[in-house]
Amino acid sequence: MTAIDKGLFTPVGIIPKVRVTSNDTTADYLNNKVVEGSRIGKNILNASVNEQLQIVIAEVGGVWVSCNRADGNISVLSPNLYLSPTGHSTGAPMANIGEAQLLLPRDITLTSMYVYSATAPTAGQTLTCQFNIDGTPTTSLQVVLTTGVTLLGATGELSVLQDQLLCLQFTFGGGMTSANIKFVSTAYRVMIES
Amino acid sequence: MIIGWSSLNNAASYANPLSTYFNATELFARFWTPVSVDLYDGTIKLNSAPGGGNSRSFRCLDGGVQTGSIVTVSDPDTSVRSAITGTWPASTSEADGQGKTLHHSLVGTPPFEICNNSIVYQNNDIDPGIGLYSGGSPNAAFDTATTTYIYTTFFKGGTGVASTTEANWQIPWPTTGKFKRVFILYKSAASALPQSIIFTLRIDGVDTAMTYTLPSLLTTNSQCYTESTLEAEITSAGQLVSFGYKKTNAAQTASFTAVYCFGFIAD
Repeated sequence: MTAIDKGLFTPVGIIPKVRVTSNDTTADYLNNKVVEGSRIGKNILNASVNEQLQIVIAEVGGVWVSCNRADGNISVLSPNLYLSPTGHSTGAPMANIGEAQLLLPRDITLTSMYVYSATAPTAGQTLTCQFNIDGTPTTSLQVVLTTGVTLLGATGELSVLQDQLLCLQFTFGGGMTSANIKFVSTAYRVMIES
Repeated sequence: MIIGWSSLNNAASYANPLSTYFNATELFARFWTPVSVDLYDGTIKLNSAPGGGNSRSFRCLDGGVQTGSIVTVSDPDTSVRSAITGTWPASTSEADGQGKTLHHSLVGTPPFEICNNSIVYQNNDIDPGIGLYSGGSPNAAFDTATTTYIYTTFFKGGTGVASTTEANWQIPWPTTGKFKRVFILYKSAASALPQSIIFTLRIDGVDTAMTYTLPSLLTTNSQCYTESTLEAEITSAGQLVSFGYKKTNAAQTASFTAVYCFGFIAD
């Protein structure tokens, strides 16, 4: 085996390329010989220096909606109530967080939340909807309805890991005591099976 | 993609998890899918442990027959995640072997409470990222349709509750993408007069290309409708999505039921 074969140096004037097999008729750079599939992607890391080719499993987007089976309104009658983001048989937020939590079967990234209320908060009042992960509310992706606002969305990136407990949490401010919410919708991204 | 739903479980029941609907009768909870999906992990989350000797389980059914392995949470655990091996094939008719349900079962007498469950599923031949959204039920009659739209949602199953107020049923869609592929099962009582039913997916209060007219059924019967080419695009997150139906003949009052399933692929 020569030093070239061992990769110890590159002869001047020879551009190192690869072939898939000895029968491959066209040598090319590694990046060009690795193709993306319907669920497989690739990224070049460290461009123009010590480059690396990263093979990644593609993600897909999904949507969850919480709504009330009865009349389209989720009645939030007291503060600090909890609701499953994936839909609920009763549509009624729970005072007990344990009844609203979903055990995540996969790592996901939450990317947006929309809250659509039947009625808007009045002067000084606020209605906050946020994600609660393992019992702790997070402000990194939340919607706060303020005076006169019935529909509002927020975008961001909030990672939630497999086996973590996820639910929605509603909180009142400014003396607000009740609300009727039509829908809470959530977008997420999740790795798909390869 | 992840199906999630919850139910109040004090007895064995069957669920359409796409619409959080459950019923003691398997036939009434069935839903039909426009694409085949493989089933992966499932989870169960309880507020309290089932109690000594008790457990709660769910399993995936196709035509009432188990098609996926069982996920079980047993005392003293309050949650479980385990692999599911199974497939829900694409539906082409109402027949057994086409309608899907989830069966929730109990061992012993665990306390009455809400059971939050989830399943990871994925289409593996076409549209790998497609999510499925269902509404209606093969059981309960819809409100009498008029020649103007009545609105409901594909996230609500079972009772057929709906109203003429579209604003009550508009979902702010949280991401851009395309609705595509649909399966509708429509069942009507005998009809002496023509009674075509129009089902439509609407965005921001406007009919989309996903508008389907199912023709009259002059005898008590059912028909299945599948479609895979028409699309309805969400071009901006926050656009309002609703689902409406109406009949074409105001004089006809025959009752009908419907259960439907849309696909959506996020950008």
